[in-house]
Amino acid sequence: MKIKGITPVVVPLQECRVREEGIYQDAGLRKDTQIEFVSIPEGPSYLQFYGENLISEYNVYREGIKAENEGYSAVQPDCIFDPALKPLKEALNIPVVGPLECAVHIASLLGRKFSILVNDGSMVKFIEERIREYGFEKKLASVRVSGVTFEELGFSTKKDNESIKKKLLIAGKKAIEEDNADVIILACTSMFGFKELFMQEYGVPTLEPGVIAAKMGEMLVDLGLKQSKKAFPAFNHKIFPDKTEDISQKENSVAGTSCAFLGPKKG
Amino acid sequence: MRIKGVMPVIVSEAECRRREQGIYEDAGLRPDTKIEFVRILKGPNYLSYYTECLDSEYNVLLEASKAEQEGYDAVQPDCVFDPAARALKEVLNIPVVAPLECSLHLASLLGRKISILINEKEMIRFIEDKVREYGFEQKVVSIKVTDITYDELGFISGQRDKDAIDRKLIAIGTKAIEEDGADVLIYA
Repeated sequence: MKIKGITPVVVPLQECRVREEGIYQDAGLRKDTQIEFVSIPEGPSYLQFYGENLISEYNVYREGIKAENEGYSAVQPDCIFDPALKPLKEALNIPVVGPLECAVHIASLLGRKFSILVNDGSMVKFIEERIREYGFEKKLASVRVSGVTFEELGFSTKKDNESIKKKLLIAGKKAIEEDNADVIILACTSMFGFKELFMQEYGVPTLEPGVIAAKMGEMLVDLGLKQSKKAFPAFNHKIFPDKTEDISQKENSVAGTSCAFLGPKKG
Repeated sequence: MRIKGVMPVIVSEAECRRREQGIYEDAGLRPDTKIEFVRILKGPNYLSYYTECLDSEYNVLLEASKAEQEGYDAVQPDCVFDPAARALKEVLNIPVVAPLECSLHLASLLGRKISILINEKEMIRFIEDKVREYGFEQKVVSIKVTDITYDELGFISGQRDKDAIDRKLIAIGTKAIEEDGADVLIYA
């Protein structure tokens, strides 16, 4: 089977290969399972604002909906914010796996309260909102900021795993000791090789969401399961045009005319 | 890898083989994964009372806690009441997978509203208790009774009445979907 991963920001090819390699090794995917990553062709480079996330979601959606026609068995919007997850579940008839959604479900199976370690403070609100949406707020011990930087993640240069590890250890120790977390979720899908970080000292499993999602994708395909079409029905009309049309160029343009939503026409 | 399944009630050897076969096929386990079922040797035949469940849990704990020493890689207390699941997670250093707990989590990944179909009405309270314990009460829209009997399941005879089971499941599943708005069904 082939799983398609999509990065939520524009990254060089090298980062796609890093994710394929990292997921393949840490997830212990089967020999006959392939994971292939593509970068969104256009969109933001960072995700620190709602606006950036919206643009990212739009582009992840457009790349993700091709997956079924391209012959993939599952698709993974590979960002911890689960971009376009529900729209893709509607659009596609193959399993769509969201890293955060999968990770919190597995965390809930392995422990009683989990903490999520995010890279920087701007991510906290996005994570908190997703956790509420998924209905796991009672199992969330805390969201902790590790301070891992984009430079250390090495999207376009080289990853600094030692420096990342040091920061994760400090934030994770606090989550376990002060917030009583018994499972740790690393909130960045570009982190690999950290599964054992808190196991020996604390007996706490560490989840790498990109890895968890890929394995979940493989499992759902094996089980012959996919998202419920009653929960996520496919619409039969086109909402995304093939090319962006500039409606202002059209005759009888809607721009400037009154609209029912704006209230009755004056005068 | 080898997974050990433990039956929560005293059943025939044939039932163990049937579960191994059924799980192997439906789960699409890998060629190098083996699932092996054992019965509890003492304990109840039915699970209709809290007391029977306690008896079952005690015996499942005794049997399943040997799994690690026996060289298994994971253990599955194979009953929808997840007998002794948390106790086993304490005792063992291999994954303990509980059918209801896993199903609820997977259902929550696949849809928005879950209905659980159970065989008899005595089971409702046990399922309700577990759903609350796992914190999924907002996602479970209903628990429905199929009235499928132990005879039809072939627990003792080993002969399963698949037509009767299908008929009852479809009747009650349709109600869960149409009347309760369920978009994922768990057959408990």
